Amino acid sequence: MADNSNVLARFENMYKYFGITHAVDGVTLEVTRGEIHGLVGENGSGKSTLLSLIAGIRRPDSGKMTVNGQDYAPHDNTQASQRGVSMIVQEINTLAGLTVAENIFLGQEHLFTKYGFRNIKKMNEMAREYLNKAGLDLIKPDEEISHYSLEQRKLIEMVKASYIKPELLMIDETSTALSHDGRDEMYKLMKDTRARNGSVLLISHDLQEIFQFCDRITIMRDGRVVDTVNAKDVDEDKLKALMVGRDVSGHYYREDYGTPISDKVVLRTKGLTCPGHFENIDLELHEGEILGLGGLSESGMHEIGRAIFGIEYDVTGDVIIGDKKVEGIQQTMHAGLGYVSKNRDVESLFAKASIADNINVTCMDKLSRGIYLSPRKMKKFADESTHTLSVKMRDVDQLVGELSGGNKQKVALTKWMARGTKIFVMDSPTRGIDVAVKAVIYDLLTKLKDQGCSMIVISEELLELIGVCDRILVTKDGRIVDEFLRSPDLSEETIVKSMI
Amino acid sequence: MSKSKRVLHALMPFLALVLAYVIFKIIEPARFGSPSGLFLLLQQAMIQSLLACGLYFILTMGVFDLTVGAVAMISAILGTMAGNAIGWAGMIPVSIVTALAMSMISSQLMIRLKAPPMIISVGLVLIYEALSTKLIQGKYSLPIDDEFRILGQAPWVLIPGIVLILVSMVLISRSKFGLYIHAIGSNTEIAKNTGINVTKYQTLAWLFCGLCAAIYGIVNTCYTSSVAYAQNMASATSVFKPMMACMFATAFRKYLNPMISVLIGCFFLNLVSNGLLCMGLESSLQNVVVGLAMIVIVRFSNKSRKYDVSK
Repeated sequence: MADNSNVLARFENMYKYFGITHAVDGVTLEVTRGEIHGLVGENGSGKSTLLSLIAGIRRPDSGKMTVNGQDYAPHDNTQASQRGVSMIVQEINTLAGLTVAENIFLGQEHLFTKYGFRNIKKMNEMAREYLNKAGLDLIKPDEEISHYSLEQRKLIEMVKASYIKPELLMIDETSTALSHDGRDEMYKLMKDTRARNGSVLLISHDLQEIFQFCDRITIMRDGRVVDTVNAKDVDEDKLKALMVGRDVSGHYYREDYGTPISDKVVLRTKGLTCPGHFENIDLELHEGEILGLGGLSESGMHEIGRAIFGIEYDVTGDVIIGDKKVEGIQQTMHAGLGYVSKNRDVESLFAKASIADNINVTCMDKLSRGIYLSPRKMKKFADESTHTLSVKMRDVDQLVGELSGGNKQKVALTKWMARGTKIFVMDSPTRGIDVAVKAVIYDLLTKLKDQGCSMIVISEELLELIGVCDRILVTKDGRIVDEFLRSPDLSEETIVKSMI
Repeated sequence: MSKSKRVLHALMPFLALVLAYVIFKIIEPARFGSPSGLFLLLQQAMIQSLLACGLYFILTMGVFDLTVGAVAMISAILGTMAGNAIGWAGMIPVSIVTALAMSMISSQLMIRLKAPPMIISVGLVLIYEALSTKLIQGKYSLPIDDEFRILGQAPWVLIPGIVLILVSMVLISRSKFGLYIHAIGSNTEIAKNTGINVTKYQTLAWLFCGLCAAIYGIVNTCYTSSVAYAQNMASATSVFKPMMACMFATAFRKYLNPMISVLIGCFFLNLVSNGLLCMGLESSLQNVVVGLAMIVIVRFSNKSRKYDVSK
């Protein structure tokens, strides 16, 4: 425990149950002034739930919270903000249909309201000021927020969380949604908060990030605190072992080099162009190959993946699978291709549907007999499919929205595997996922490769691309600018030189 | 998006009106589009806008409430009864209180029961319509006294619409109420987490819609000189055009205050219906053409927005 006079916030015996699940099970945690405090643990260990209790998004079943020595029990974000506590959540937390400025100041309308009328001009001016301070000059306060990308919306959330100059800033696995520049902004915000003698509670699965910025680290497992350690007293392997409760090898990437790749091309693009995003993309994917697409977030690589699957609009050029030109999602799926989106909650999964429905919906060809669907057959199929990746769940009738990030991703992958997909386009397949699930996914990629499946892996994590891919294409300003073959000598620095 | 493009988008609803007018004028120069005929269409549009203004708030929250037409009908029936008995002092308060009470019932059932609002609204419409039959007691319609007809005549018939549109314009774009309605429609959970009292604002939206329905009921009864009962979901059809006008308004919300688009949408629908009538098209086919015209306009508007996305 820290010196009491230096304690900013204390959370004591916090409990939160969801039915039989003990999401937060007697957690006690202290945050001292001027520290960046890391919170790590496997997916489903209760980190996000704990932060949601502190932020007022959920109410604890029991427990005592104090901030600045005074009782603290917020009912919502706004009350938390009024006590100097703000949070950037893992998923998108902005409201479509509202402007950027309206989103930033939602719940704080009294700042701009006189006699019941909102002074929109004043609100936009203030939003402009805060956006400029965060280096977001290109974002317009009066523009509808849905016109901005996932990353830009996260940056806007950062502005929303920071303009009140919080004493306690909580960040839940946000960096994976950000490009390098975006991350720099986030790190700057963390440092600024610490410089003001405020504190940061940071959830991240990127252990390098944790070690780089955190003073202390609290490890959670199964809803409980396992330990709180000084960052300088532990190394990565020790931390992983504390997280998963056993020793975890540091080498979860592939270790083979020089494995020959088949000459057979299973997917080819010719002159693929999407104005404003990418142009003249010619690439070939071979049978059994893991092809990486790396670059900065805005380099066009994410849109290339979407275009191959057929969900990007205004695309010209050809996508050829086998020897057949495909166009649109139906044809692409029929040709055996599956796509796992970076934005899995919106584009990959039905959050309010069961795990079984999410998996079965892509496999109707297999499951239906004419117009008849057998509920027993569907449940059995979903049961068997989820066993492949050991999805941590109550049963297949559980709603996908109730799963942790890593388990959601397992479902997103399972639905394509269950269909018998041979070619995968995976955009940021380990975004927001802990080390243990990451290891499962890397292992899966290798198994799929051994089975002759081909994969395009799009990622901003260069180590991940170097670790799992047979070949890496680097995109920059919408074009492929370089190619690297798998090699033990390939380094991040070499790829970064091509990216920038 | 450049300023000129924004202006062009804002003008699009007006251009659609002009285009529809020009096309029908060319096809039916003699029978369509006289100034007096257009003024009549404007009066009808203004009356429908009364209902559309309220409905817009409900639809923005993502709820399809079919009871609004029945609320207007019942409040008008009771208001007419009270009006015929004791004059304006009976008609206006009785209509408004009835509509507010019914809206309160609708809202609480739809908010608190864990059942789809659409199902609840269908159930309520059937109940309300049965009530309307009982209230009129076997007659087809209930006439109003002559003293009330003045509100159904120009220019007085336009006044409630103008006032309500102006009030709604301010509410939807300049008040906390309008902002929160949009927030709730976008994502109820996030709205709750932000500290918005979702139940309170949902209820307020229904009450405002009830107020609009009451005013619509009064003005429409004065305009048609009577109020009729409805059966078999017929009251829901009175919501049809205002609902389409709301969709029209939603599509252009970014460029134009939705309450202006609501009026234009109602006027457009009446204009097209009238044009088709002048062409001698049977009523079922008229609906097909009106429906298609709306779909094309809204689709065109959404398509242009799709390319606005800055990734």
